[in-house]
Amino acid sequence: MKNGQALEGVKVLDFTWWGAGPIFTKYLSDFGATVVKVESHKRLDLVRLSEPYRDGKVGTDTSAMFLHLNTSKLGITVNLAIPKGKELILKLVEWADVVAENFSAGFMQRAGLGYEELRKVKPDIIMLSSSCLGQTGVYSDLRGHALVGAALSGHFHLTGYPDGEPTTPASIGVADVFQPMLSAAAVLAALEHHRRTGEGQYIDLAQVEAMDHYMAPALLDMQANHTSPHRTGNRHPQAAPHGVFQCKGDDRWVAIAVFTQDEWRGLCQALGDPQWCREERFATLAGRKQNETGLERLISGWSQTQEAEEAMEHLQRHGVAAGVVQNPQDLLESDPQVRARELFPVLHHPVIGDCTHPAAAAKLSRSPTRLKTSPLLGEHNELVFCQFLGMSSEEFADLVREQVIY
Amino acid sequence: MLSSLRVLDLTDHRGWACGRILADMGAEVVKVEPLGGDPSRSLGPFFGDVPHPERSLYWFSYNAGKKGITLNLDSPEGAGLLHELSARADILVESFHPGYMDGLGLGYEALSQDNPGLIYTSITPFGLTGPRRDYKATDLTLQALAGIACSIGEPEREPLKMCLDQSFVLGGSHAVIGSLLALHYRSGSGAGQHVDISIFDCLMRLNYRDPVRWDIDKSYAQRQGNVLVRGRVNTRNIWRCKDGYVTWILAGGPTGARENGPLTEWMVSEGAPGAEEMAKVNWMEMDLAHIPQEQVDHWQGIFASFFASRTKEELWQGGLNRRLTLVPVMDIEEAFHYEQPRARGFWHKVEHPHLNATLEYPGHLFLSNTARAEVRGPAPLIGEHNNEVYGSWLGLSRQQIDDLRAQGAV
Repeated sequence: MKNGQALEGVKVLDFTWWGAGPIFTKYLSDFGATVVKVESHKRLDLVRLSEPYRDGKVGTDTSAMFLHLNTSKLGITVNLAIPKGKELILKLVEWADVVAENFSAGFMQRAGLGYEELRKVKPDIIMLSSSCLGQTGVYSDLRGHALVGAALSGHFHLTGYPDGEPTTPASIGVADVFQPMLSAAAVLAALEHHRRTGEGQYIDLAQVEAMDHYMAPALLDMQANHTSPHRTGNRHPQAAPHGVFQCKGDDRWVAIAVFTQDEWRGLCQALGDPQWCREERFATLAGRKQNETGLERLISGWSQTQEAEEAMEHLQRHGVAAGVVQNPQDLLESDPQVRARELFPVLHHPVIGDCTHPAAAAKLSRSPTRLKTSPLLGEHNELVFCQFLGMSSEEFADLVREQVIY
Repeated sequence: MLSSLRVLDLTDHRGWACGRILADMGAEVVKVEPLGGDPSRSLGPFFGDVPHPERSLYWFSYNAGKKGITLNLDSPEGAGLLHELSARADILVESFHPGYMDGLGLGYEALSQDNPGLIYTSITPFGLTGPRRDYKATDLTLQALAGIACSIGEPEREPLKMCLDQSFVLGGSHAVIGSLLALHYRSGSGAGQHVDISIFDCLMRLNYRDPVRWDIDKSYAQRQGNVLVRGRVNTRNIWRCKDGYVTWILAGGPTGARENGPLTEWMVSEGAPGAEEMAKVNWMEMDLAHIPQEQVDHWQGIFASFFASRTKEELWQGGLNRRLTLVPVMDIEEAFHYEQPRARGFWHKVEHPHLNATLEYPGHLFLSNTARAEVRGPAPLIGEHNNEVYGSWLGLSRQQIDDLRAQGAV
């Protein structure tokens, strides 16, 4: 294997749906694994019915949201509710190296597709189940979504204005993004383990536990210092100013973070060394923390006279960490970094047409990703069953007619 | 799972999580620090609220289970030692400024000469290429630039970032993925490679919804409090209750039928105002894409009054009994004591002899029938494993290590 993709030859049977599962298997498919996504006309990945749709047309193949979460995968449709469908799935399990699912705990067992069953047909299968609360414990069958792990780990509690409610982003389900990184890490490590030992394994990954890892410093703080950490808005205990400041224009803002004395001097210079910069109360970090509200007001006085982009560039030139609060339009239309790193390449989708696709978030010098578009519902049935499994075209046609492949 | 793997970790707080996750999965991870310790040990919170390099709880969190050595990269002897160490490593992960390691003769090109199989993972704010690669950045400025902050907060107030340093654990986790992808490639080809992890790019993956919405609809979710913008309508994510907050989402279709049906029945049985009207709605047929915002708000008002009249515990238990996804917004203490992860043995006690203290850490990354993936021990003290690592990796004697110490290399 030379200059191929990193996961060429790795075969994944993918039952995942919604956000957390597909975001995880996208880490595999974008790097060359053959990821076969199992759906059926009876049981779509419901993200297919999530906005935005191209030209507002609702259909199984028009959701750009689905496209974004399912790049580089193959799509098949199998009716799991009938015995012949299950038989077909078990053939695919034999074919696969990895099986991934994120149904509510217990669903796969009820469908006769639990790990013990899969292991009978493929003893060294790697199976990963990701769920909100895990496969064991009293409440494991809670139906989850992207908010649950963030609610139960303190993530929402710690995000927000100090005088306001716990806060969530309006655009994304946070835990749906954090959990998949650990799912991908787990499966890649399991593949390495398999390579060395020939052993498969069953992995049970819980969203709430994943989120707890990402909240670890606060969880240790609470124990070590007998405190109950509370949200602090944009402020940071070891930096001032550390906030987001309004600029000229409609909803334009710049974030500024000053940790060190050098950065403070850089900020003062960037602002033209106004008199207030020399005030004793701002001379040290302790002083700036003590007088932070006043300091923020003075910086706002400056930023409101500035264009956000210019303020950022100007501060950066003076060694100050600053960043415009960019919106999606900025990202897609003017951000030079996004463009230079090709983070949203335009690819063609047979129904949606030309559309931005999200690039993989790791650049590998020798085995780069080759991004492909997302599968139509059942698009790869023939490829998977006839070529991968070697089914005859007659048998394939029969199964289609009997609505097993459906 | 990764017990044969040797990792050199030269990151600061922007990359720590990478080594922690690899160590949990069984790799031998050696944290390489400058002589006085990793400068990011100065970041809090601190044990006993006393700032000290051996008391940073942030350091503890993401360096647990690693070994620690000191090494002065700026000295010729130190640089030589890193050459030798990297010749015996599978993965080297670092988070210096782009080009810094090249300047010391310790970049990928240099180190891969002696070890063509080396996987060299660089974690930087913006990546190794592009016009902003030299920008200074923090978690706050990265969340701003990456379009995360623009959707968090109230419309009349400033945009907000997510809590803690979420950008950096996100970057560190992607570095694990990138490194293990490269490891898989190496198992077939024998060749290592340079893995370029840009935290900004990683945040772009976090921001999975709105860039595509802009592309398709020329719209995006502006911050408007605790709502999820779902195309034409917004629904509430977080609801005030008697003694705190809960999370619950109004949906239609199968999810709506499963959630709203039992919930409204419950409300009716308790005589909640407005509940009778809700019980008549066919939630299976309800499609949020065709419901005006006013109607959604009207329904949400009725749910909101019900939630506001109950405690978190009442809603959580009542919800569990009806299989609803109605979940309390836990504070840090509640999250720590939450019984479900406890029942799964999630929390692991880790001793800190130098503080005469024991802390409970988030333990396993996941459960496996054959492998352990969990915290292996405390974070190292500065230089704690110098003798062990220089001895076992390079075969140096105590005397040789003492000599290096005298030269200021270790």
